[in-house]
Parts: sequence; structure tokens; C-alpha cells
Amino acid sequence: MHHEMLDHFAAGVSPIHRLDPAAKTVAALAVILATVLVGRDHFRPLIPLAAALVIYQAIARVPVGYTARHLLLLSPLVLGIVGLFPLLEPGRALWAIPLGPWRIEITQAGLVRGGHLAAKCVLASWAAFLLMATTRFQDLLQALARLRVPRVLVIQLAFMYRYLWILADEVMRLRMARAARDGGGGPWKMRMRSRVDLVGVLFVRTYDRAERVYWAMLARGFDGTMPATATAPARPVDWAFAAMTVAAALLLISADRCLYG
Amino acid sequence: MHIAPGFLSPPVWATMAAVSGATVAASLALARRRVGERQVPLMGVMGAFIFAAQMVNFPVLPGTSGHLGGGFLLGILLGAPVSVIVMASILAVQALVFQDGGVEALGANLFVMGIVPSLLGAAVRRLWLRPKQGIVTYAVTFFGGAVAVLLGATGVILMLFLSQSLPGSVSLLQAITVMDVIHMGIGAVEGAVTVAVVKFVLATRREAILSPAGPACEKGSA
Repeated sequence: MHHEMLDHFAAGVSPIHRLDPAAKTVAALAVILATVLVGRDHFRPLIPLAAALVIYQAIARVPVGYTARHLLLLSPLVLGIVGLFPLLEPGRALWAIPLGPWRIEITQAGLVRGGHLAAKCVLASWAAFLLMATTRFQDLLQALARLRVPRVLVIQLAFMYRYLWILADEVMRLRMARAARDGGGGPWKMRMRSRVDLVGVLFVRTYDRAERVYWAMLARGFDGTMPATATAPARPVDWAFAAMTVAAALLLISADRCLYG
Repeated sequence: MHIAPGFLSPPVWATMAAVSGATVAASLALARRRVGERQVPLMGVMGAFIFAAQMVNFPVLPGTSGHLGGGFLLGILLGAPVSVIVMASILAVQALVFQDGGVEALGANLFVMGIVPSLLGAAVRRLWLRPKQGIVTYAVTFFGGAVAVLLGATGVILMLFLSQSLPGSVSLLQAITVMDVIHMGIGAVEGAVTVAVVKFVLATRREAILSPAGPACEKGSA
């Protein structure tokens, strides 16, 4: 597995990709917060938010199919909860489906409530997705450092992301080795045992790897600090992009509060 | 179990963000005193380890499976402050990179899946640091892991309830009951797998748990 999988489109070329990562991060946070702050069951404020994301996606030329697949795969749990609302929210029944001794009623209030939660969830996830699809993870880390996220946390994120893919490969190797031995079958106890051992072996290999990494870092002159790499300074256009997005988000939320009362 | 974006009301997610933010800040301050430079790569790689361990599915009942949460295991192996920092970075990457859990709900998700299990794990850690372990240690750890999962499931429902994001005809008690019954099997897996993995680690890399800084620390400074 490779970070290319996720960072593939982040390495693209477009005016959006060239924007300062810190400016993009601030803008994405503004859009996410505006989305989740939209009042209960208010649909209209979500339309400009969706429009803004469509425009951003078009300028950045992130493929639509890739985005759609990603957002649809989000979480079966979310879809499950959202799907429960039309059945369980009390209100005027739109349809009633007889099911043996029970009657399943689909209520209008439930459809509105579930639909609104689903829309907010998709929009907020889409905003986070677009930030990641147009910003390399390394650049995002530098943005976080400039936005005053504690250094230890940034270094922690950097290390974790770097080893994520290596350990994911390690798990796949261990799984394949296990499948070669037992074919993935056997009684419950045996399957449980083999998986526990897999996690144990994974831990030991990870621990030893951290040891090797540390020695390698020492050999290269590691003194407890991470060297900072130079970043291009933010341009006026970066400031303008961040400021305009934040202003638009504030405007949207104020309008939502005032118009709906 | 990640809370998706848009499900929590502003007072709920803001409160949880403040609580979790303060806990992470306190963990960073505590870790700074205890953590040597040697732990910089160890902590990062441990975060990747939990990510990878979450890829392993354990059979719960026929047709269903669950995976490790990891916060409880990390609490035992690394102690609370380091475990909270590692879990915070895991959940941040899950929210940002994989859109698993809302960015605004990061504090809430960190509290139920990172902070509470880490603290429970750190409480159990004392038992594992003794020279010999017996059935008591195993039983306490098993139930600790199960309780961590059930507390998390209950916490999620409680926060959704306070945010009025549960369907109106479902009472709080019903929702908690359903959620906790679903999570019993997963809790049992978390407890059992944690016991087995910590035993495995003790048998093969005792230094990994006894002192997170490890014996190589002296070698490193020599």
C-alpha cells in the first residue's frame, strides 16, 4: 500500500493546489464549521455551501467519480442511523407499509430530519476530503505547525503517517502467511488465536522497527528536534482566499440565524 | 463508532472539544517530562501500529466481527499521557484523511475512544508492572477492556441524545440498551485480545511495557 493512493490528486497542478496549505486549512475549517452550525432542518443555507464545494472541486479538477465513491463509502453506520429517522421519528405519516402484525410508517418529519443530517454529514466530509485531495500531507503538517499546533503533535502525526503504509503492508504479509497456513478456516477458537498472535507479532515487529528507526536517526545526527524545511511565504492571494472564505462562512451563519429566526 | 460530522449540537461538540483539548494539553505537559527523544519515533510508530491492528477483524458471533479500539491496549503499554497523545493523532488522521468522524466532533470522538480507554488502561497498567501476573490481572484487564468499549458506546448515545440527534420516538434508555447490547461482543473481544496481546508482549519484549523509555535509552545517551 502506498500513500500515493491518497496523495495522488494532491500532487496535481491547479490554482487551488498552489494555494498556501495553511490558507486552505483555515478555509476548510470555516466551511466545515459553517456546515455543522446550520440550524436544525434548515436546507437552504446548505445550497451555497454545496455550490462553493462544486466550484472548488471543478477548479482543482478532482475527478467526480473518485469523490462520489469516497463519500458514498463513508460509513454504513451513518447511513443506518439516517435511515432510521423516517421510521422512528413521530409525525404525520406519508406512507404506511403493512408488515405482518406491524405497520411501518414513514413520517415527513423523519424524512426531513434524516435528510438534513445526511446532507450536513456529506457536505462536511466533502470539505475535509477536498482539503486532503488538494494538499499533500507533508504540506498540511507544515500548515498545522504554522497554525500553532503543538510541535510534539505535528511530529507525532508525521511519523505516524509515514509508517502507516509500511505497517499496513506488514499486516497484509502477516495475513497472507496466516491464510497460507490455515486457509482462513478452522474452529472459532483457532481463528481467534491466530488473529491475537498476529496482533502480538505485529506489535513486536513494530517495536523493533521503532528501535531501528531511532538508531538510524541517531546515526544521521538526530538531536531530539525535527529540522524545519523552508516553505514559501503566504502570498496576498492566499490571505485573500482564507479571509474571503471565513467571511462568507460567517455571513452564511448570521443569515441562517436571522432569516430563520 | 466514530461520530460523523453534523450529528452533535454546537454546545455538545464545543464542550467535548474543550475537555479533550485540555486533556491533550495536560498529556503533552506530562509527556514532555517523561518522554525522551528516543520515544519520538516509538510514539509515531505505535500510532501506526494501532491503525494497522484495527485492520485485523476478530470473529465475534457467526457473521459479525469487530476490531480493536486500541486506546485501552496503549494505556497499558505506554501509560496514559503518551497513549492520549497517540490516540489524538490517530483520530485526527481518521477525521481529516479518511473522513472517519467529523472534524468538529474530534474532541467528542477522542474522549470516548481515546481518553476514557487510555485512563482505564493506565489504571490496569499497575497490575502488569508487577513481577508476576495471575488470573486477577487477566480478569481485571478483560473487564476493563469491555467496560472501556461499553462506556464509549454509552457516551456516544448520551452525546447524540443531548444533541437531539436521536429519532424522537426512541427513549434514551432504549438507545443505550440497544447500543450496549450490540457492543457487548465487541467489548469482550477488546478485553480478551488486550489480555492476550499484553501477555504476548510481556513474554517477548518485556522492556516494551516495563519502561516505555526502555533499556536502549541508556545506550542512546552513552
